Amino acid sequence: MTLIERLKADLTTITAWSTVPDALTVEILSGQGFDAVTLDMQHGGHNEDSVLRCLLPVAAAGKPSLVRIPVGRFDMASRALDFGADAVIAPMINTIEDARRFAAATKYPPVGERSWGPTYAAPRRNSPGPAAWLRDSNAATVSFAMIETRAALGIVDDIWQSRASTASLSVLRIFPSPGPMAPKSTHRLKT
Amino acid sequence: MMEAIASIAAKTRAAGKYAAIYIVDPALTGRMVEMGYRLLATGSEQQVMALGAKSLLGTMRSTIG
Repeated sequence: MTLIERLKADLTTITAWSTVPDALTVEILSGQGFDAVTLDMQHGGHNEDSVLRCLLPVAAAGKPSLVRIPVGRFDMASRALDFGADAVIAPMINTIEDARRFAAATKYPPVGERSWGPTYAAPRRNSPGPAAWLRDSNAATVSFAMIETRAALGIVDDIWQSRASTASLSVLRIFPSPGPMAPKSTHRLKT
Repeated sequence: MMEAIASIAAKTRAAGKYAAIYIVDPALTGRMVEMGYRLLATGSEQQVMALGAKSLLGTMRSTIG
């Protein structure tokens, strides 16, 4: 079951969070009971090379893969999808323009501005051909925008109502983090 | 903090989007699902190894008199 199929079915999905840029380690993590695996480039040790290599053991385990890109690296959002990721997580989406740029990088025209080139993704995802890939990719991949500051929290509704969400980005999701909104003395959620 | 997290989930689902969150404290998992979060992230290699080592060593040492 793909990530988008799980979400549409309203299934709870638990993803492991990989920070070690090593394919053998990710292979072991993928073999555990998690429903999906996320490779973290923002605060984790993953880089472009490790993402390219570590998406493979996740796919081999039959699980969806997600990649969290570094702040503002929307070019890497496109590359992660080109490498075969099912979803991309973008941190620090604080403005409607941030959301627009993220959406543009993850969706092919006419929805977004993603450049063509699924060199690794198409074979890894068993694409039947370029036409099918172009037709299906926008709906098959998921883009998560992290809402993690007070500024972003204040404009969540505006982001959802903006062109970035309703037109350029049809699957903008939200991914809040406890960090910047949490009390300064602790990184744990207050219950 | 929890009010903000609940508010984001509610607004996200109301807009027809999917809500996801990084779970810092696994004891809060059920509460997040109740709020509407469906993609839950957790379990870095460091966390998994630390918990695994603690469990493994705890079991071994508990058998030593």
